[in-house]
This record gives sequence, structure tokens and C-alpha cells, in this order.
Amino acid sequence: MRAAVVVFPGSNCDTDVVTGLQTVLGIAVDRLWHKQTHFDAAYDLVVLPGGFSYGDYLRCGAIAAHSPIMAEVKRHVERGGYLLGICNGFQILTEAGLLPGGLRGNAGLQFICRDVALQVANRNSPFTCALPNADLTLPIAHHDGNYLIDDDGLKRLQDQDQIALTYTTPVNGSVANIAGVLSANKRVLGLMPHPERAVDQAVGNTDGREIFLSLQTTIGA
Amino acid sequence: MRKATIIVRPKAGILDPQSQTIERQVQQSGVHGIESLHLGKIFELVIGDDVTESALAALAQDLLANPVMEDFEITLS
Repeated sequence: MRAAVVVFPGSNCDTDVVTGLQTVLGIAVDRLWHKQTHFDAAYDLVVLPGGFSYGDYLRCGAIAAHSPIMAEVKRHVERGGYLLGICNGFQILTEAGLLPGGLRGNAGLQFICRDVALQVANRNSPFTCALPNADLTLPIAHHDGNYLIDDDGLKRLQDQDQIALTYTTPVNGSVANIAGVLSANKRVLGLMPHPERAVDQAVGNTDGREIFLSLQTTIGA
Repeated sequence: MRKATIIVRPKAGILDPQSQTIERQVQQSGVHGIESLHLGKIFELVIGDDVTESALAALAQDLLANPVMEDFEITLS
């Protein structure tokens, strides 16, 4: 399995992704600068990390979604590659039209930084197939994680089994408590929680490991 | 040179806690008779003669507004 993480100006979780994947899967992760217009087609997984790309100017992820590398990220998806957007990465994916819906300010207007309980709504996807039956606990740290989609869009998500994760109790105002969304072909996942921050027992929680192990199960070593 | 103003605002009917919070504060300000308040963004552009309204609409649709949650309105002067 070959993986890369895209670095935008203001990304601040790229190193967590590199360390997380190294810790869980023992694979080296390349960093790609957002100004690149092409990258190696051999990457199985590309990750858009958390952070505050472009200072959250305009809307979270809006400027990054128009970065030069995003055209190549779209080609990666068309080639059948796997794409994971975490937190700001999820916001970028919705702004780029790679996932439906959008993310706006939390209903309580506050930045929320704590562990949350999550229910796995789809256990068959490449990102969730190795998850245990119990609920997950993962950290969140965001101001704009309030997932919005219209009724027709929500019905499509439900009909096509595209809801990956939901908060077990309301957290930020998200429609249907949605915390993570899959593309129709299930090869793109965007989620607000940070699995890469929960892979080492030293930080007290390893629930995030299973997401990366699911990918390894799907893609192979 | 012409000027274009693009106003972007949350779609009607979508819960907008920021506007609600400002509205509550405004209603406590002592100025009576304020029924409602909605916060939006204004983009002021100076444009050449060949920039069409449809080009600006495409720009607003693609970048300045997020059509999932926002509407926009273009005024040329």
C-alpha cells in the first residue's frame, strides 16, 4: 500500500497522519505540496489532513478546494484511488464537490475539542470493514463541523449506504448526527473526527487504528 | 471600469445561529422595532467592460458562495 498526504498552507495535522500511518501500518507516507499539478498514479491512498487551510478564509476548505493539486486528486479518484479527508480535509472534499453536502459553523457557535462517541453506520466500506461491533470513541476539534444536506440529498445518502459514522448524541448540529460521509463508490471518506490522533496507547485511545487497518485489509499490504 | 457587488447570505430557512445571536443582541440594544436580522457577506469587485453577469454568476456559484448553504445576488453599477 502506498500513501500520500497533501499539505496546504495552514494544514496542521499532516504530521499526525504520517506518524499515524507509520505507527499502525508501518508504511512511509509521502507529503505532496498543494501546488503540484500531478503525483504518482501508484498511490493507493491520498489523505487531505486537518488544519486551517488558508486560514479558513471565505469558508473552511473553500480556497484549498481550488488548489492546483485538486484536479489531480479528482483524477486519482477517477483512477479508482482511495481518498480520505479528515476534519479540514472533509471540508475541502465537500467544497470540491467530491462529497455531497457542506460543513458550516457548529450550532452552538463554539469550537469543540473533546472525545465523542460514534456509531458505525456502514460496516462494509473500505474504511470501516475491520471496525469492531462496539461504538467508537474518537477526538474531534473543530468549529465548522455542522454537516448540512437537503432532504433529497440525505435520502440519497441513506439509500446508497453513504453515511459512514454518526455521533451517538447531538454534537454540533449536523443533519442526522452525521460525522462521516462516503462517496457513492465508497472510495472517498470524509469525517470530522480525527482517527490519526487515536492510534497510540500512549495517548489513551487506539480506536482510530481500525480505520487504517480497514484500508489495509481492503488494499493489501 | 464598472463595479459589481455580490451579496452572499445563508439560504432562507437554514438555521443560522450567528444571525440569531446578533439579532437577540440588537433587540436588546434599545433600538425598538427591529423585527429580524440576517448576516451575509459582501464582495465588491471592480471589473472590466468584458466581464459578463453570467461569468460573475459562475464565479459566485463556484467559489464565492457554497450553493449547499448559501444564496447570492449580483448587482452591476
